[in-house]
Amino acid sequence: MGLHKLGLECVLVVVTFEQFAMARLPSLLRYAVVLTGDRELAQDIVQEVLARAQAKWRRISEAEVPEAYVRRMVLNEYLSWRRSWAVRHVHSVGERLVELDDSRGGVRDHADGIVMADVLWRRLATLGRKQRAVLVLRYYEQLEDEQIADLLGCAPATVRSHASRALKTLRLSPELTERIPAEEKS
Amino acid sequence: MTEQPHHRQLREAFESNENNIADPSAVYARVQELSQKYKRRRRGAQVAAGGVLGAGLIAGAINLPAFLPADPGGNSATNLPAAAPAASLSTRRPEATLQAQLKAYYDAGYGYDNAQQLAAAWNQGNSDLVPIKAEAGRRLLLGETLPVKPSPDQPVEEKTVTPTQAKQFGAFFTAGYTWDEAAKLAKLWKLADPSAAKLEAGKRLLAGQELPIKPKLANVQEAEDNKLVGAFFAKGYDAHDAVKLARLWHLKGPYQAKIEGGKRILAGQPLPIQP
Repeated sequence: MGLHKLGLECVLVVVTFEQFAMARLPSLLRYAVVLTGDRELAQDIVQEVLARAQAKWRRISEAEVPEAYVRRMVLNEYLSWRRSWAVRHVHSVGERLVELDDSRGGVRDHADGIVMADVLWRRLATLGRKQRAVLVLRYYEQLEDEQIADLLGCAPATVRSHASRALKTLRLSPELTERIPAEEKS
Repeated sequence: MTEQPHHRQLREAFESNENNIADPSAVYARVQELSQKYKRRRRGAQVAAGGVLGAGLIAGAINLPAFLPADPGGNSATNLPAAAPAASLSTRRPEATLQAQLKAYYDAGYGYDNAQQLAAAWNQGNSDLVPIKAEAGRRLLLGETLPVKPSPDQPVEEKTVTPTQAKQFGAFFTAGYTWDEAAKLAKLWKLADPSAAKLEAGKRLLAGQELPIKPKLANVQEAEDNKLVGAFFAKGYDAHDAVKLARLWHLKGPYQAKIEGGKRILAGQPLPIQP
């Protein structure tokens, strides 16, 4: 059951696993793709997480925000040791995603901004999992460092350290920034 | 507040790639199959945990703790999980107690990796480590000793695969196999999960053996393309070079330039521009 607060009243809304999965599966897959950089690994992770979630859905559905709980499971699965191969596999995986986008048409082919997104996506594949997770949680999930710290089980200072090192590895600021077309900076 | 340039660049990088997802209906079908396995595992884990853990952890595992306050903006995607369950408010761990237990855990020098170790030591799953940390904190506050010593979290980079495993994964994917085949192989070989099947399959491919399942033709072609693209990037070229080469060679786009460049590199031919 999800608890939805309407003013001072509380309304209990029953959400079945099927309803949840139908509504949120694409979003979870997108989240996993951004975390892993790998469509197959993302599928692998989401499948395993949802299978576990279904097995204990009664408990999860009692959370105020079941999706947040499941997203946390996806994050933990990504960070777990069994997925460590992804760090090394990322090169070809990152490329594959870039290539898929490239193959979708020529509109973006000569757009420096889009090329930069491709370059950045490829560089993201070189990061360690926690570093990448920090960037995803910060810039994709829009979480504060304190929230990220709690999710990762570390201090906010560690989050900032991960982010700083990740941005350095990605060569974001100032080197890459200088390559952004002037019109995009305005 | 104005968005920093690197914020926007990262957001764009994520958003421009986020939609490359698997077919949700296929994923859902697989979930249905897998969930039966996890239901069985979970029942086993709960029985095992009963003999090892105190009531505190069991309560923490069953009732999701309110680890952090809900997002005031109501954005479910950014809310942190484990909000208090509506049906068990009276029995769940009080928020103040939980925070005190977590504080004790972190103050003692324990971290994320230790929570994983404790979860394993206590025969618990690692999908939600908050109850593990809370139970550990509870024990610490009681003056008890934990079965794991505190240690700093290992750098992510150290948790990589061995070079042998990397080769095995590489062999699997470059042969055109995907998750679908890995799932079938895992079932066939009675392995724990598709990842293990990928390793075993890669091992056999490297040994020159054939697998009982063939890859899809389209995936074989894609894998071949990926190999060429990989050769292009391995030589030091990047996406900017691909754009230049596409113009030079009058190709449709950088993707085709990477393919063509990869072919020439593997054939030992020089490219007209340096990386």
